Amino acid sequence: MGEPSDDPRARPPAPPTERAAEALAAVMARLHAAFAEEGFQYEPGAATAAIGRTVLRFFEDTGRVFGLLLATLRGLVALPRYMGEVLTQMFGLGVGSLPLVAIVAVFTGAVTAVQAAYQLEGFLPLRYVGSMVTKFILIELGPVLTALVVGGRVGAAIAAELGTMRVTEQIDALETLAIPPVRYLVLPRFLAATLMLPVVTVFADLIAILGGFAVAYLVYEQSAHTYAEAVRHAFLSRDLFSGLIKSTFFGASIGLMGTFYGFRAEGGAEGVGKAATQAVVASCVLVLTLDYVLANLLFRATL
Amino acid sequence: MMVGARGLVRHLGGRAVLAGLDLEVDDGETLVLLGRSGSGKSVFLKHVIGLLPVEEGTLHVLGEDVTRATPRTWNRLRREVAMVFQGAALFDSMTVGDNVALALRHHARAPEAEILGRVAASLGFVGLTDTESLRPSSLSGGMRKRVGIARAIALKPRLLLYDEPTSGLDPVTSDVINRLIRRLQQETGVTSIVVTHDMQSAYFIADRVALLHQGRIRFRGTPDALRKSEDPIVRQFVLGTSLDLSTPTGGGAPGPSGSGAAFGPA
Repeated sequence: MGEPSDDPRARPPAPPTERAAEALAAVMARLHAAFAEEGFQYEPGAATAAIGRTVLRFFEDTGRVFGLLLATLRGLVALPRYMGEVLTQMFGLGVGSLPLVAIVAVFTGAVTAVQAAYQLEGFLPLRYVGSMVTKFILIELGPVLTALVVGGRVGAAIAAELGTMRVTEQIDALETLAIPPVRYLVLPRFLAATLMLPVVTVFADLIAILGGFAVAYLVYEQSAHTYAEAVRHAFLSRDLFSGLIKSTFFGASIGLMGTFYGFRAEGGAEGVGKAATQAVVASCVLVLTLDYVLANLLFRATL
Repeated sequence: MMVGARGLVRHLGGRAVLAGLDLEVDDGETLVLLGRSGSGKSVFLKHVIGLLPVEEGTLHVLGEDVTRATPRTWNRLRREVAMVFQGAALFDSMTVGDNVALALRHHARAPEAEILGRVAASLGFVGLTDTESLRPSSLSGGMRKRVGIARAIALKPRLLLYDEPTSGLDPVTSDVINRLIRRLQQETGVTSIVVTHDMQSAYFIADRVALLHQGRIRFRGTPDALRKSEDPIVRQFVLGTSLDLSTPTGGGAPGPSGSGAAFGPA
């Protein structure tokens, strides 16, 4: 270390700060050489610059997403003209998601029942399994798991479809035919996701509670009456609707992310795949973030 | 004057793709815009139909100043300006018939029977009668291009833009498309701008030819004048050679004899 100051005759002793700077420069030079040997290009400050770019891009994208949201909402004035598209999308998104959502819900309900029984054991009678399942499903698991699953399925599908249309110039073609792509493509998908996710969630809630019953009946040998009483005991319509309000926001996020990344796709098949991935990741992150915010707004305990 | 560009500048990826382009297209003529790949031909076309906003310079389309046009203005103009895309850009979620009918259904408050009649007429014009129920994915490249043309003419435009109409097609199919473009111009009097680097196509359909080079119009004139041009850049393009003909072997000012010598005995 500190080769530059090894020979005292060469220079008068440098002040400590300068020596430190020289040492640092020597270390950097060695690092540089080591990186170069491995075939990396090491540039001082590159990491900081990359972080800065990422942050900037995040804010830029956030702005663009809000721009798209505003343009979409402005398109609502022309809704009657695009009603056919909206209904097509609602059908595909809602009915098409049901099988997958049903499978997820039945297992969610079943495993919740198992876990609830495990938690209750020794504290409360097992007949409250139905109550716990109902609470968990209505306010949290039903809306969130449905949103994550539908987000994966629908978000990716929307992004891939619109991304393909973008890279094959179909979106440009729409524009040249004087058909606004935001209204023709984004609005129906956004609306369908926003309106249908709560509907799908209602089914998911019901199927999950029935899944819980299957466990209660088959494993814990409860009667249908016991389980139903427990469900009724815990059921609050306020919980159900709060959960559905969450679903509405989750649906909007899924529709918005799918269309946003789809519209931005570029560069062929690879770009379309990237858009689909980004849409799913972004909608998952958004669903979980919104879930926390909305839980605080909707379910805050009064202390 | 159908289209008038003055001093059009466009940067893409930090490069000036259009660097002060001046070009005028007259009523009823077919202008073929030539240029090498990446020379900004398609970029210019996208300006004329509002897919790219004007960065610098002025642009008139259908006699209207569209330099700062709003989306609303463009949507009005686009009922009279249509574009045929390089890859046809057919909506693959729809049938051929729905592709052609889409804009009609969206804009024209016409009864469905009338729309279907116009779809059939458009498809008939391009020689694809009774293909309404086919899917775009089941069509050949040439058929896709023809459906693209049928879709573009369904709204009876006054200005028709073609982006590389014959690229990726075999010579026979290219000829079918070329004849179609010419027949369309003769029968409907539509003004056309055709972007291509296919010289044969250019000679066949063009009333006038313009050559785009380094973001500017290097040559403008009739196909005959193009053939006779002495400009080395133009010659290079016409002859399809990658040799640099811009420095005549004789030295001195590039003259007829100088550039002639550069080609050697034909």
